[in-house]
This record gives sequence, structure tokens and C-alpha cells, in this order.
Amino acid sequence: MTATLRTPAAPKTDSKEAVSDVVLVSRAKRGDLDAYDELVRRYQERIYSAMYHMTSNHEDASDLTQESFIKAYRALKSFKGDSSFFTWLYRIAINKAINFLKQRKQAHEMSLDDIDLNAEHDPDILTLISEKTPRRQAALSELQVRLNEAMQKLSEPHRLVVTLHDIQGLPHEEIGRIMKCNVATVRTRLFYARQQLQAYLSDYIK
Amino acid sequence: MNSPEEQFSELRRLLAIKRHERPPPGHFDRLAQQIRHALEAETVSDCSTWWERFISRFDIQPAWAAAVAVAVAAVYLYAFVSSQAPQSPRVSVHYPASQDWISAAHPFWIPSPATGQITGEESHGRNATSFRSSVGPIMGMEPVHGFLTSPRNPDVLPASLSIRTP
Repeated sequence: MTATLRTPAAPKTDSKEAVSDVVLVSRAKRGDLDAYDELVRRYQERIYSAMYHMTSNHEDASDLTQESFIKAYRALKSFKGDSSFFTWLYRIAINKAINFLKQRKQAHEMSLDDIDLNAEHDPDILTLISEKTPRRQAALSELQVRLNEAMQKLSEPHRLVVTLHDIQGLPHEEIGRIMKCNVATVRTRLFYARQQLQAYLSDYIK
Repeated sequence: MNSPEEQFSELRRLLAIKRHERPPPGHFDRLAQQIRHALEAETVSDCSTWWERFISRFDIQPAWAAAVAVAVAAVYLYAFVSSQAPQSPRVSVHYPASQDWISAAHPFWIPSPATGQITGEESHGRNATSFRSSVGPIMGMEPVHGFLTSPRNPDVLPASLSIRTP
């Protein structure tokens, strides 16, 4: 079985998709569920990914993704197009995640997704785990748990910038638009978040 | 001094592992379907009239259409059967000539030509003119009309009671 590597990409900003989003949103506003379904399929992986890295829980991430899309559909009439649909949708999802995390109990169980097979062959990852133990799969799973535990120790704003920038690859400017803060704030938060993570994961970092 | 990107390059390599965390196969297809179903259900509940909600259910659940069709057929069948049922024997009563009290109690009651006076024979020998009924007019015992039949002449509803004596 081969799994394809799907790196979470930054939002495509080519005009074709931008126009397409506008058209789909316009149709969805008139009650066209097929158009909205297309938007869901276009963005659900990125939204799910953000929710998953914020919660470290598959079920919570699925629920939050679903609720975010439903909430966005209800609020679609209020979407004026000042930002891209992607940014607007992300903002809704992120707010939902932060509210959820505030209500969640401190002690929660992680429910982690599997790491796809390509990870074992990624040269960068290979160097990180091969020196520790020959049992790569076990080492990889252990590293995954440690990573998620470290992420959950961060505050929500810090976890969010790491998720959006270091994992999802969004540029600082886009993160600033999503979080409604300036780029300098994004950079500062990112710096402190990385410092904390580095301390938590010192065993794995030379 | 290293740039932030260089400073945290090891950490970023570690974080790259999280990009490989993937939900089970088929998860996103199911998720999209769940969202679609939730929105369809919400759209149904948002319909402005009960009729629109009623009709739109047929699109989601064809069983609804079948259930409604069976219910309508059952009503028609009941109506047909009840309209074909044999008529029950008619019980009627004659009323005395003086009907002022009836008119007062039943302003819509119109006496039929057959009623209005009880003969001496019919009143078992009692004085016909002194007879006064202690009860109101007895309505027809049979149904006025069925679902599929037109109403009978309402004038004869408070009909007369015919008691034949040997």
C-alpha cells in the first residue's frame, strides 16, 4: 500500500480559483448546496488539519470541522468578500477551536491519527529517529506522542501560530489576517512558541 | 547570529512529522457527506410553510411519500365503504300541530308536510290535540350523508315517528 504525501499547502491565490470561490460562494448564498459542497471538499482537509493540530484529537477535530462549515454556511449571507473565503472560513474555525479548548478539561485524552507510510522514508525524519533506535515505527510513534504533548502545553495563540506556519505553511501575513493581528505579533508569538517547544523536545534536538 | 529560521531548523524538521498525520482513508468523503446532510436537514427546517417542509421531506425520505399515499388511500377506502353501507331503519315521530315550542328551541327546524298532527289512532286513543311531547324532535338515526354522497334534504331531518297500532 502506498500513501501519497500531501503537504498542507498555503491557500492557492491564482485568479482561477479565486474567481471560482467567488462564484461558488455567490451560488451558495442563493441556497445552492452543490456549490457549498464543492467549497467543503476544497477546504475540509486544511480546516481539519488545523483543528487536529490544535486539539490533538481526531474526533474533536472532525466535530469542529463539521460545525465550522455549518456555521459558515449559516453566516454566508454576512460574508461581504472583504477577505478571501478561505481566510473568513479559517477565522470561523479557529474561533470555534479556541472556544472549544477553553471549555475542555485540562486532562484530556489524545486521539492521534496514524502517520502515513511516507514519513518513514522522509530523509529528514529518518535522521531524527534512526539514531535513537532501530525500531523505527515504534520510535516514530513515540516521537509523535511527544510532539503532540509538547504542542498541547503551549497556549492557544502560540499553538495556533505554530500550526498555521510551521505545520500548514501559511505565510505570516495570512496568519495575521486570520488572527486579526499584525505581522509583528505573529512573528513574536511564533518565536516564543518555538522556544518553548524546543525546550520540551530537547531530547530530540541537538 | 542565526536567523529564526536557522535557529529553529531542527525543531521545524521535527514538526514536519505532524504533516504526515493523516485521518483514516475515506474520512474526508464521509465528513463532506455529513456536512451535506446536516445542511439539508437545516434547510428543510428553515422552510417557511408547513407545506414546503412536508413536500421537501419526500426528497430526503421516499418512505414518507409512500406512507402518505397509503394514508390517503385508506381514507378514500373508508369513505367509499361507509357510503355503501346499508341504511338503518328510520325512526320518526309525529309532532302535535302546535309547534311553537319547537320553533323556539330549534329556529332552523322546518316542519315537513307529513308532520304536525297526530291522529287519535296513532296516539293510542289519547286526545290528539292535548298531546304534548316531553322530548325534543328525534333526529334521523342514519348518517346524514356519507363522504362521497350529497346531503339529503335537511327539511325532513326532524322526521315523524310512525307507530302503527293493530
